[in-house]
Amino acid sequence: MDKRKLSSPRHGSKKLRSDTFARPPVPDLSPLEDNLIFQELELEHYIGQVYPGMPGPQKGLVPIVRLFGITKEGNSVCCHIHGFSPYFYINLPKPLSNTEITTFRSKLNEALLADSSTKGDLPEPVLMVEQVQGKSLVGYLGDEDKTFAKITVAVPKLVAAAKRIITTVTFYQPLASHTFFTYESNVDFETRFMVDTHILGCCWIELPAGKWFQRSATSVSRCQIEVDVSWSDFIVHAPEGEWASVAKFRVHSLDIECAGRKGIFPEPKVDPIIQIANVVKLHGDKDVLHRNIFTLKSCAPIGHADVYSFDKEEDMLEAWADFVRSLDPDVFTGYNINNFDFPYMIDRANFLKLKKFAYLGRLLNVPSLIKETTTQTKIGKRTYKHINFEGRVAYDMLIVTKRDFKLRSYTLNSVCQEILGEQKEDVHYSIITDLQNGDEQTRRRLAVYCLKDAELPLRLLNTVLSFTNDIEMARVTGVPITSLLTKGEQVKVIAQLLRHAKQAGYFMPAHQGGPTSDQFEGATVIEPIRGYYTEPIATLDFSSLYPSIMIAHNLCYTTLVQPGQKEKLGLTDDQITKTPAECVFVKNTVRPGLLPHILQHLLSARKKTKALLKDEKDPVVRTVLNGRQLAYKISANSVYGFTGAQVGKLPCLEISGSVTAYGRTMIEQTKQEVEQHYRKENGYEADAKVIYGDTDSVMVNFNASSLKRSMELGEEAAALVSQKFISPIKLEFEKVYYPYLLINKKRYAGLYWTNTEKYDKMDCKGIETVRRDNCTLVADVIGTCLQKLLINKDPDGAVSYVKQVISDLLQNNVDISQLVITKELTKSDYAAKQAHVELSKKITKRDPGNAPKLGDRIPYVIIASTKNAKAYEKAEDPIYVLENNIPIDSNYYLENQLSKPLVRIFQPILGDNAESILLRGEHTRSKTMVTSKVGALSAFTKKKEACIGCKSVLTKGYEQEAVCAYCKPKEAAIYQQELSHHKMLENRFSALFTECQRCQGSLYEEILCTSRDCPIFYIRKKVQMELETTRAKIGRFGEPVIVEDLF
Amino acid sequence: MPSITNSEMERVDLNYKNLSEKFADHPSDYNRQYCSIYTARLKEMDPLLRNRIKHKWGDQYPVIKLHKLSEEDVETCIVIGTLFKDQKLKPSILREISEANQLVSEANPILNNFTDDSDKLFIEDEAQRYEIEGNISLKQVVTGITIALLGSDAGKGKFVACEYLFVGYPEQIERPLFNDDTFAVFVSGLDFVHYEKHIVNLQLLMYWLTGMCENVQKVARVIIAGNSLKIEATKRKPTISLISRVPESAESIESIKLFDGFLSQLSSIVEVDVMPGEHDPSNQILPQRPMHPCMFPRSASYKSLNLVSNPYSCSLDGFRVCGTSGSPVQNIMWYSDNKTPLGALRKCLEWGHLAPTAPDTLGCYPYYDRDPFVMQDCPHAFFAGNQSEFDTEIVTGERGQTVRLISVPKFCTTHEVVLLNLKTLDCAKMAFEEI
Repeated sequence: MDKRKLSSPRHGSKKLRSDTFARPPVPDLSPLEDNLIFQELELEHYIGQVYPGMPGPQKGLVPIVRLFGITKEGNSVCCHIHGFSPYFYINLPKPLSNTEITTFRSKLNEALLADSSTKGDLPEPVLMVEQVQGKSLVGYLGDEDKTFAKITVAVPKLVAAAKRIITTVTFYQPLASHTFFTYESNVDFETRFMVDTHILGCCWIELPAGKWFQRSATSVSRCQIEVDVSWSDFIVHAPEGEWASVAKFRVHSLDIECAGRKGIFPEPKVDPIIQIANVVKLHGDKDVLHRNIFTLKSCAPIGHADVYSFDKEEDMLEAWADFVRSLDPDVFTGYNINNFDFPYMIDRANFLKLKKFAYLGRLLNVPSLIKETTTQTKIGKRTYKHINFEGRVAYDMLIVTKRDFKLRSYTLNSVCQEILGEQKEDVHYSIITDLQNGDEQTRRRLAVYCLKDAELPLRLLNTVLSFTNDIEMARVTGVPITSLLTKGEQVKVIAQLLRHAKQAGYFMPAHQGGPTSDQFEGATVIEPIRGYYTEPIATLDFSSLYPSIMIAHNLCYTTLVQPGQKEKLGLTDDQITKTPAECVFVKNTVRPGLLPHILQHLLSARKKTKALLKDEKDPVVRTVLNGRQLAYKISANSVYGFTGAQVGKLPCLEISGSVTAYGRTMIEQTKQEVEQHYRKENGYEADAKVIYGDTDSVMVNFNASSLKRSMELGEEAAALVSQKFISPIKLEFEKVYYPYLLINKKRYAGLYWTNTEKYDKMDCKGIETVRRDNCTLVADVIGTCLQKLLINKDPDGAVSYVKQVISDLLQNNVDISQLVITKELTKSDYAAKQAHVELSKKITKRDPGNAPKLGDRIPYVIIASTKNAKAYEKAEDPIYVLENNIPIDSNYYLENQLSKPLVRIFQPILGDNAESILLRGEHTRSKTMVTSKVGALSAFTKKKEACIGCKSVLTKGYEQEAVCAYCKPKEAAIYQQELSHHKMLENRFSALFTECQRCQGSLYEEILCTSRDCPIFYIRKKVQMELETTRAKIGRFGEPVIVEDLF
Repeated sequence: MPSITNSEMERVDLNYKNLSEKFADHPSDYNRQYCSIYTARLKEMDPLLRNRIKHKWGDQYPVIKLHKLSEEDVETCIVIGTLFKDQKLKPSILREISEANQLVSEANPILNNFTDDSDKLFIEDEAQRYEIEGNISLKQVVTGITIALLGSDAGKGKFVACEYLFVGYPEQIERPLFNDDTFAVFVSGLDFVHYEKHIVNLQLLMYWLTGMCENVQKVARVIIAGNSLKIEATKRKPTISLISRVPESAESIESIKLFDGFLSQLSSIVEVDVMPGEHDPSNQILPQRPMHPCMFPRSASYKSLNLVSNPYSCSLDGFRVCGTSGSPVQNIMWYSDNKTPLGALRKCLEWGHLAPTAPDTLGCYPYYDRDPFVMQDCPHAFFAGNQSEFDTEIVTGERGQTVRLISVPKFCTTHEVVLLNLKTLDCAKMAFEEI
């Protein structure tokens, strides 16, 4: 039996035993006999001293690429790659003689040396100038190659300086009149290196025996193996076959807890870190490798995790950093680690003046520092903190989730609910401090909670397979995996473009300039014919529409004919294509475009991968292949976006504008073809009608008698129309919507069928189900209505359901959790008054200890108030509302929340009467008045007991009774009614509390959770309160007693 | 003890004592949580288990608290705690809520067993939870049982068990000697909502009890073990709120009048104990309190009518009868592989607990200072009402406890009642069918 912990736990500071989680020992390696093979994870460059015997400059400072990875056996590797120098291209007016080139070089060299930005610390800034033949990537100028100069400089930062001098300063008189353009001068050094050496993200690299040198005494990293190699001496394996495998990267998930003060967001200068939970797993393994928790003050042992306790926070933090260094993870993960856990720890360690703490990366002498950066990504512009961990990837699941999922809320609770389908216990931070100040058992409780928060991000990561998919994306697009999280979409396209351009002899111009005012027309939509269609609606889709248009019409930078060039180059009309956007491109026969080539490559690679996926049995390989085919698809689709991105590296509106223009005409043409062909006069049973068309799909109502017939017609129409278009554009029949509710442009819902047996799913577009500023009642009601309309095909049922809900709402029968609206408190003073801000002020006044802090999400409900009260004055804390029985403003929910979305989905069914039918009918007449326990009037009302049966006030002599004299004969019935309600509540009570026990994972501990995202949080409270009421009511009938005196 | 000799209807009269006080006074404070009942249960069970441990294993192995496991340097040891069975099929109110919005009529098969191969077993005490591995069949057990495990810590929160021990049958007082045959009659599931369906059978039962057949005067007591009004819950229409008020149907309100009539007839001839069942008008969660006399205006005046609690325990001249209206037994069958009511009753005795699955899957009050369902003494007859068929057996405990187990069938479907001879422990069913 493995007994790991031997020392006495009383003082906590158990010795950390790394043998349970350390990396496997390094096998004996001989650089002369062994090949070293490892998988690359991270790559960056630094400026260092020349390594003797390598290519490139032989003295001075040179750029060196540092590559981190791990071997198949799981040993960490740091590889220094020498001899690669940065370069860029410029255009030359004509070929120059060798002497001219030499002079050009030395003049440029002089100019650079004189330039203030270089400070003269490099003896020779310009290493080489060579003449090369090739073409500019942008614009078709005939087949003849032009002359370019390739300028190689000593270090990457000289690229920009050299570019500036060349384009702005006349340093070489003979070419004074020539206008220089630079090419590829905006490519960063790492990308340049990866393109030239064919390194893809996360690919396997082999250093052949005899070519590499192992370091020992001169190591600068914490990696187990540190080596040097020349940039020309290693082999890169394309990720296929055996090289498609993924090494067992060490993923370290962590979570910290701080002891905050009440009402104040923890500040590293004040509030200590009290626990750090760590869960470590090898990528691809099923089981966790190691779990532990570092605690401040003693903590009772935890079965599934090692506990390390410390009396001083300083010791705990240092020990933790030691732990990280000996664990040597490849990937850090957690939830919001980039913006909270890591910055907090580093700031805290600085405040405590811990000298060794910040060395969390793999380099011995480089501490991790916090930098703030702003990036442009799919989710929009955002500022976030970046921390360097050389050699380790910070893979924050919050960022991943925000990138990949559209959710109502991104708290760990709701993300777990959405993705893992389970709730997570949420301990309020004010309780965290209490637990910390308790005893070793309460701290253990906290530790279990903290461990769970470290464990969940790992489970998320494995469930959504984001890391697996990102590895494949890195391989397909050829960028390092880190840039997938920190950089935008563009780097992926640029990397591919450069790789292919290099092979085809193109140079990519360094684009300059910001956004232009040029606008191009977006994708088209065929005006929808709104309605609730109970007949099958066939949907014809263009598969990969934009990529196929680009391939079919040879749309590319390289094929673009600038205005006026057509005549100049003597191109005939049949050599060119004029797009519907009035742009001219040469045909494929003149010059095949580079983008179409890339796209074809991506699409056929995807096809190949999908074929492999079909035959693959191994589930691990399947996830890899699936990630791969997804990556191909996403990459193919992002090319179009790249050409249209006006602030991008190389926008070309001629391409993107033409693509959308083609799209538009094709949708129109499809509509015409279908409607012309499928007519009664052509022998079909009914006239077909295209009821809607969007970007790449067309919805056709064939008026078919059955689902099966509609599918047949769909297949047929797809094949028929496809013939009219140039290959590879292909119209595909994919699905039938039956029934189909078409509300408006981009707003529809339908039941999605791909076979006649069973529908696949309910498909909703643009309908309020995920809007964050709605209460869940809206999403629930809309969801149920859609199900009734589409699945049950029961519009009457849907209408009566809506009426029931509205009447329930007006009668105060809706669970408060469904009415809660949540907003984040982002700054303390807003210009306009906002409900959640006003409420947080109110709460602060009521209970300063529980004051909401910045960054808190404030849940509120809108309560009934005086007639003229502003909406922001009517927000109230849901718990306060429950406890004090405050009436809800049901009208607000009806008018401001429910009405619009409801009217929208019912308009196609009920017509313009929808609003009056749904919102004004008989069912809205009955309202329940609630008497609040607080408020202006409550002080003056005196409660008198009323008869439970008829609610009349009990007359004198009857005050103690449950019912009045009139109701007395019906007492048994009245009693049963009350009892039946009570029974139901008791039933809920036990179901709710046991559910929470299961969720918190303990039967013996009190439920502390205050997760307001959880749908049962408020009901739990409500049931308790209601039970008190019904118990009192039932009590008024008198207590049943056990009769014992029967003899 | 009076014996009956004359032909006139005169019944045996036994010294009756209701022993259900512990089910009567329950906390009506719903602000409490369920954690305390587990603490109380463990506290009551711990000394009993330690006795048994001593008896079985002597002092060979140390008994170690779960949270000390990882510190103590011992190979094999004993741990004591409550079982928790993690079952993915367990109904969950969260799932119910998320499915409430998805009224897709993909008829989820109505399960009558919630066990699955993926079930996991844990042992837990006040401070720690460990997953159990090894040599213990989890098919037979349910959440809430107190257990002692012999085994060792396997690290990472797992305990490998090689042997286990329950508290076993509680102490039993000696069974009294009766001179004459004396009978108790058990009946359950009268289902008065559907009175018309078995009206004839009920009349036959009544004729029989009023002395239409021999021996009947030896019937000392009739115990009605629950679900007299309904045997199943009325289906709730889905509402937008989990707790909106749904009125009780007129039929069930009417049916109680019929039941009142029946009881007044019955209690005029024999002592009757009326236990509530889970679908009767009492409270919902265990223990169910006696039904309120205001619902029985005609029969409540009879001294021989005895409205009692569920679970119910009483003494008849020292003969201990104990049982429930059936839900705890039903619950054990749902969450384990115990397929028969008798099997579940037997297990309850071994586990020393009347309703181990409460509160986990069976509602009960949030007791905080005690667990009334821990069996303090061993009954001579142990019954469960509302089962699908009659079944019975005699089981014997390690210390010679002899118990008659009875599965009382639903009258509405079987038309059967159960006769128990207190003198001989003989037990038989009696059917009331139309000829």
